[in-house]
Amino acid sequence: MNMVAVQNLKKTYGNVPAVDGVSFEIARGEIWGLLGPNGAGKSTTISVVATLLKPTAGDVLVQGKSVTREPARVRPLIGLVPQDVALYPSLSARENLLFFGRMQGLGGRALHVRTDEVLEITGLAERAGDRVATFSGGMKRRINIGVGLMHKPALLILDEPTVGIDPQSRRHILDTVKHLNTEGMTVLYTSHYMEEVEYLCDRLGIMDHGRLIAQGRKEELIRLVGRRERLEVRIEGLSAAALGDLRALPGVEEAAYQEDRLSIVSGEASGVLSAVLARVQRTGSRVKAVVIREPDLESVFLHLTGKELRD
Amino acid sequence: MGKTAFIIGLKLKNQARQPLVFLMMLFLPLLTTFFVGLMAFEGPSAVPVLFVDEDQSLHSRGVIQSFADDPDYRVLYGNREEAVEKVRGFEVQAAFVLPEHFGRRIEQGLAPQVDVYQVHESGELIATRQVFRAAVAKVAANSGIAELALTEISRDKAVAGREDALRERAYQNALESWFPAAPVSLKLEQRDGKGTPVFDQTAHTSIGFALFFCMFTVVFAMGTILDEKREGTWQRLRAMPVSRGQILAGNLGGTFLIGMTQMLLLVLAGAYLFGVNWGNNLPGALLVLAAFMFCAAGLGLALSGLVKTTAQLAALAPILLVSTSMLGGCFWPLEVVTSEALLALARFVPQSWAVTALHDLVVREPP
Repeated sequence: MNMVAVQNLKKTYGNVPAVDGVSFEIARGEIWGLLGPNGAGKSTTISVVATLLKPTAGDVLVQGKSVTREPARVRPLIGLVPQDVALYPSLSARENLLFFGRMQGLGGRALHVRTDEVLEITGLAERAGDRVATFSGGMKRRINIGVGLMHKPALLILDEPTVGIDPQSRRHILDTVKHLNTEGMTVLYTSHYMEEVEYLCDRLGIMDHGRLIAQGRKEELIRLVGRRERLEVRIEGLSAAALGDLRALPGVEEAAYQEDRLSIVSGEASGVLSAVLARVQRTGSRVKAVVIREPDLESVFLHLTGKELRD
Repeated sequence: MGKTAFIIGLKLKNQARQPLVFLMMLFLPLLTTFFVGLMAFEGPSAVPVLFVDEDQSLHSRGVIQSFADDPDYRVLYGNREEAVEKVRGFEVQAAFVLPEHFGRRIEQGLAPQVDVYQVHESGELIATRQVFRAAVAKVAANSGIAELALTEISRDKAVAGREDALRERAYQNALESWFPAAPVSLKLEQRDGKGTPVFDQTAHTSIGFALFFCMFTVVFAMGTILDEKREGTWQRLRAMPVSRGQILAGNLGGTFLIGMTQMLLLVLAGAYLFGVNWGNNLPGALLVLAAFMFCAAGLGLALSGLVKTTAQLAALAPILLVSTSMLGGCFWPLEVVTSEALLALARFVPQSWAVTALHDLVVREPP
């Protein structure tokens, strides 16, 4: 039996579909990534899996238990780490862990032993007695994850756990997730950072506009774009007209421009490089950097949606 | 029950770590009670009345003197300009202008015209004008008696040339003959006895303000649910094996205990700082307070469901709490309210029931 089975999940707000017929399965002991830009429907999907939202249609089974029919039996199985830090700032790290541990049904000596373990896992044992309000963003995120680990859940759900933190804390979180997975914990991990998903996940799904547009192993997804390379040009102020011209260049298959970054997918990026740069220079825009990348998940997203994964 | 108890504990711990609001809500009612108590002890003061005496006659001075002798009035003197200025500035309640020939017209049995300056009509002013009319009537009567006496004496030829002196002497005799002793003695006796509530200003102030400020504490303590929803801890709890009932019961219980703690501290402070007598029925008072705190916590819960943010609650709660507290008699006794409609509305606010119950428990003797 799979750990999670999401079955034709739909969630609408009024007439607006936030999640539109999403289905996927997560095997026991794997890290499954849900990749997509902000507003793609990842958090809504996760909220349904975590029993926080009722779906408009479809269902989610966690270890065979339905989140719609028996949410009380699903909740002890999951550890939710929400996107925003959900802690009591006036309490210390230890007090937060103790309180949420009790809410998970832990008690007595086992609760205190587990609290010490989680403080070690999160690397905050030395700051255990300090109020969370005094912590840095990265430390808060680590305790935020720690709360989700207190009852050793069968399924750990992490909703963009590294948003807005320093590289050191991000690395610590990613390593922690990897380590927990080696101990047998199943993880559902959402992010809009391609590198995180590439680093962590065995399998992944890509969401956009509420739909799961692709899913599979990383290599399988990259195979969708074939051997096509990606030319990445850092450039300021590229007009829509210029982007249209670039798309029309021979050899250019996809082109997208977002946040000063021009991405072009081509069978041979080096072959179109000079034509692209010549066209760009005619616009008067200043080129800051040029990189040719091997096919990656970013290329997959660009290939599938015609836009970049970034916000 | 275990998880509910831990949520109650969390609520109390969070409150204890933010003591400023709690202390403010403890300090403010005490301060208010203190100042309102001071006002209550001052009692009514003498009414200031200004006289412009343009006649300077025996009769005009007599009228003014009767006001000066009355402890309910404080007499000031001035000219017409000063009278207008002091009336407009509310320094005096009214000004009476006694014109030239005021005394002469009284002696002639004619009604002198007196100008009265005042700003607003009030019951107190009507009473003051009545007192003035009575004083003029008394002077006119004295004058008549004196004139009559002089007529009788004048039949004796020996008084020829001393008429004015005799008239004044007769007038003074008449004046002194008015009530040589008090015409009646009033003995005030309060027949309240057992079971009849008697208004006690300090007790009412203490009760009213304590309930009002405790309601604020309780509603805003319950309003922390909105903070929990904003910070995500509410949703996090909802994804754990804790029922909605346990979460609500924990919040309700914690808020109730915060409110009761504040109320008990106010009761103790009222008793020891202001000597408020909280009556002899402590269990009864505690029962009423407990019911009121649950009611206030329920109101806080309802408001927290109605609004989306703490800012919205902060905007709505004061309007609701102040208006219902005014209606419910927290700031003044409902006995002074004469509108039947307002009294009927007061029955729909919990404060009126709590104030009445607590006040009765304080002022009634146990059966």
